Amino acid sequence: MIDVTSLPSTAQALVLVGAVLAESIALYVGYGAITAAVGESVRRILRGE
Amino acid sequence: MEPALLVLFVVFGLLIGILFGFFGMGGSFLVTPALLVLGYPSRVAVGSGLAFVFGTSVIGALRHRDHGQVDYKLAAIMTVAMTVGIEAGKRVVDTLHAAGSADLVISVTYVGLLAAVGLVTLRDARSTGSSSVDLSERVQALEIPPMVTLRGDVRVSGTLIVALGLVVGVLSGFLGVGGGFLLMPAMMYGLGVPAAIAVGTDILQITISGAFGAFVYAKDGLVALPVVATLLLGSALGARIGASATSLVDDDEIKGYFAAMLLAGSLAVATKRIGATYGIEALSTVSIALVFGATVLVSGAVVLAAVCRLRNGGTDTWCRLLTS
Repeated sequence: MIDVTSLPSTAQALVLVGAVLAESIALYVGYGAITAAVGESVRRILRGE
Repeated sequence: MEPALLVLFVVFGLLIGILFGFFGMGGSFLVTPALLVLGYPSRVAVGSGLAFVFGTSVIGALRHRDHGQVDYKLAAIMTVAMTVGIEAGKRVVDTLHAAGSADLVISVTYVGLLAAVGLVTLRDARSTGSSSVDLSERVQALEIPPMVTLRGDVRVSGTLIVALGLVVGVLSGFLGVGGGFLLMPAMMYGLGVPAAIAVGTDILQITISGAFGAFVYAKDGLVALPVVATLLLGSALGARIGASATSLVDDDEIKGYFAAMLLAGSLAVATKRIGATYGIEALSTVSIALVFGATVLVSGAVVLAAVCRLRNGGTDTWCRLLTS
């Protein structure tokens, strides 16, 4: 395993920005899957059907 | 992180995500003061705010792309022009700092700009005949080469887009903000870009500037990753809800909520500045209450407006209250 704290500050910053990007994409995909699964049911409930 | 704080961050992230997905602004404007209130050092609050804005805007941009609401050509031109403008804006700040008047001038400009853009947007949202259409039509009539065709069949001079990006960049660098609250109305009123596409393009531009800002602060170890990661858990869902709401709610309704956020922001900054000048601690609390109150109220109104639209206008009390 790579010890991130031993990396130069520029590399650490890149790892951090990469981690935020990875989490954002993972959440986008994850919530997207949930939305696809239950989104239409929620819309129907909101429409009062 | 304590469970109560974790829940607070997720819920706060959700509310900010709704606003960000809907307006294309409001990220660091809301997160940085929240972290300051919780006792984080100012530079960590700014750095974490930028990293959070970056993460949320990635999600918002992907969502708007799915709705076909991003103009890449416009975003690219604006990014280049704004980068140059921001550098110029920073130099103005340095000059004012050397003269010892930076804080006052920046605060007054910030309050004035937020209030002016808020009032113009509010007037436009409430008027039936639109003067902003006249302005953008006049801008589009200027045949200064090269002419560029944007989404929504908007044909406008590329030179004017660069000029607009430079002006927004200078103001953004001068005020030390992402520029979302300036860029979105500039594209809408200045260029005549439809509101939903202006929001989507604005968010893509914020993604790029947010990534750069987060990187700069992270190099100095000034980003609290656990805080950013927790806020993102909520904002990722919120940005999805906010971006979906833009395709349900009318342009004029979007403008009305946007104006409300700007006016609350203007009042909050003015209150804080007066409190700091005269040493009135209570005004600082009022300022924070204004920011958080506006966040809860406006994000709630956005969700309610979308739900009412899903119900074909809705006839219950809340929907009637919203449209009255």
